[in-house]
Amino acid sequence: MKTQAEIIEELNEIFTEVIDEGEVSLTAETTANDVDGWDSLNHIQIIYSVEKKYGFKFTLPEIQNLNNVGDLINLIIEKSK
Amino acid sequence: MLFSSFSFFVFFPIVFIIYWTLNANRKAQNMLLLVASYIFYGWWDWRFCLLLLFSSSFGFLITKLLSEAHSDKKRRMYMNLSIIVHIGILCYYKYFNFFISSFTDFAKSLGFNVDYTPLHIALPLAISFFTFHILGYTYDVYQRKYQASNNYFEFIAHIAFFPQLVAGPIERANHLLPQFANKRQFSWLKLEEGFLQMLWGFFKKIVIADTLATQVNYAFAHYQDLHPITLIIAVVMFTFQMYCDFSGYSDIALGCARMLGFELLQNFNYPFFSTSVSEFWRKWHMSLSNWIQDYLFTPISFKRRAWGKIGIFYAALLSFTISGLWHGANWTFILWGAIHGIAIGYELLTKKKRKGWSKKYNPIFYSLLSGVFVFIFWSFTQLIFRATSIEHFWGIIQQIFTAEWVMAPETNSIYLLYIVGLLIFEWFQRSKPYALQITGWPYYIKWSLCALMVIIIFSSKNLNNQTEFLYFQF
Repeated sequence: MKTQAEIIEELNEIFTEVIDEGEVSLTAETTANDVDGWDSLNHIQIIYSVEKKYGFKFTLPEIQNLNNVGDLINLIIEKSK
Repeated sequence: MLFSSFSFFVFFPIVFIIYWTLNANRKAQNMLLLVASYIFYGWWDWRFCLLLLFSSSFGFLITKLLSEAHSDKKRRMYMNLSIIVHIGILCYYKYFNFFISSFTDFAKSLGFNVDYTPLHIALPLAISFFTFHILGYTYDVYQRKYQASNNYFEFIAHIAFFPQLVAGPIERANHLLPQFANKRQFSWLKLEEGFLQMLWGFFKKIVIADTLATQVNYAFAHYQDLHPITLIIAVVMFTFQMYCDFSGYSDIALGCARMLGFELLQNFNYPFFSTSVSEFWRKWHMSLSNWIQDYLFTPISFKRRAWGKIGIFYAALLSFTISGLWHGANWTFILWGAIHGIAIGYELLTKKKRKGWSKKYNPIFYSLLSGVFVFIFWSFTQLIFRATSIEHFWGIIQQIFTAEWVMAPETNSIYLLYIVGLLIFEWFQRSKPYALQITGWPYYIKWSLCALMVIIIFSSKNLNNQTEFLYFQF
C-alpha cells in the first residue's frame, strides 16, 4: 500500500507532464484554481494518466465530486484496496 | 402569451398582486404560479398544456423510481427509458418530417422513386427547453448528485414557471426547485431591479431588434438584387438583432422572475467583448452552453479520454453538432453547430500556443485583433443560422463575392448607430449583471431615463406589428 506522500510524488510527475507548463508541486489542499493550466480538459487527461498508472478506472461522478488533490489521493487509496 | 403583448401587460400585474397578497402562504403562491404558468402557456394552444403536464409528470415519476431503485441495472434502465421517451417526443414533434424528407431526398438522389407528403405536426412551443430541463435533472439524479424531488406540485410548477418556460434560461432543478420550497421575501430593491431588467429587455427587443428585423428580412429575401456591402451590413444587423431579441427575452424573464422573488440563471454576459469563440460561448446563451458542457461535452470527452486530443476534438464537434440540431430541423443548424464545434475544438487544442502568441505580440493588440476576428466568425455563422436553407446561404455568399463591390449601401445605415450606441453603453456597464443596472444612479436621472425609455417603447411602431421572439421556434 502506497502512502499519501508517495502518491503526491507520483501525481506531481503526472500533473507536470500533462499540463506541460513547468514544474507542479501539489499538496493535499491544492485545488484546480491554484495550478495554472489545470482546467477541465487537462483534468480529464490527468484522470486518464492516473488510471493508466494505477490500473483501475474512475466513473464520471467520482471525478466530478473531487474538490482538491486530497480527495483524489483518498480516492486512489480507496480504489487500490 | 407573448411577453411584449397587451395580454401579458394585463396578465402580469394581476398575477403579481395576487401573488404578493398570498405572501403568508407559500403553498398557495406556488399553486397560483402553477395555474398562471399553464394559462400563460395555454394562451397559444391549450393542447400544449397536456404535453407539458405529461412530460413533467413523467420526469417526476422516473426520477422517483430512479432514486428508489437499488440495483445499477434498474437505474440505468430508468435513465434509458427517460431518454427514449423525452427525446422520442421531441423527435416526433420537431424532427419527424425532417428525417423523413432528408431520407426521401437521399433515396431520390440514388434514383429510387419515393413519394412522401409531410405530416402536419404543430410544433409545441418551449418543447426543446423543458425537455432539456427535465433530462438534465434526471441525469443528475441518476449520477446521484441530488435526491429526487418528493413534492409533485412544486416539481411541475418549477418546470412550467412562466418566466423561463418558453425560451429559457434552461434552469437546473438544484437552482430553481429549492426556491419553490422556500419562502420568497418581498423587497423594494428586488422589485426595482426586476423592473429595470425587464424594461431593458423590452427596449432591446421592441426598439432595437424589431427595427433591425425590417432591414434584415428585406435583405435576406431580396439578396439577389442587393450589393455586397448591403448584404454584409444586413448580416451584422442580424447578429445584433438576434442578440437583442434573445438577450432581451432573457432579461424580461429574469426581471419578471425577480419581481416575484425568484432568481433565474444569468443567460448573457456581454458576449461581444470576447476574444475567443470559447469565451463567446461562455457569455452567450450561457444556460445552454453550460448544459452542453455538463451533459454532452464532459461525458463524451470522459468516455473518449483514451483517445487523447482527438477525443477532445471529437467531443467538441459532436456536442456542438447536437446543439445545432437542437435549434431546429434544418441542415443550416447542423452546419452552424458543426462549424462552432470545429472552432471550439481548435481553440481547446491550441490554448497553449495562443497564450504564447499573446505574450509575444502586444497583449492588448492581440486581444483587439482576436475580438475582431471572433466577431467576424460569429457573424458569418449567424448568416448560416438565419438562412432558410443551405442553398439560400450559398446564394448570399456567392452574391457577396461575385457582385460589384463599389456601391453605396442600400439599407438604412442610420440603424447602425443603434448598434454602436448599444455597444458603448454595454462597455461602460459590463461589470453589471445587466446593462440597465442603474439602481445606484441619482434618483432623478435614473427615473427620467426610465420614463424616456418607456415613452420610446410605447411610441415605437414595432409595438403594433408584433414579431415573435426568435428563440420561440426552437
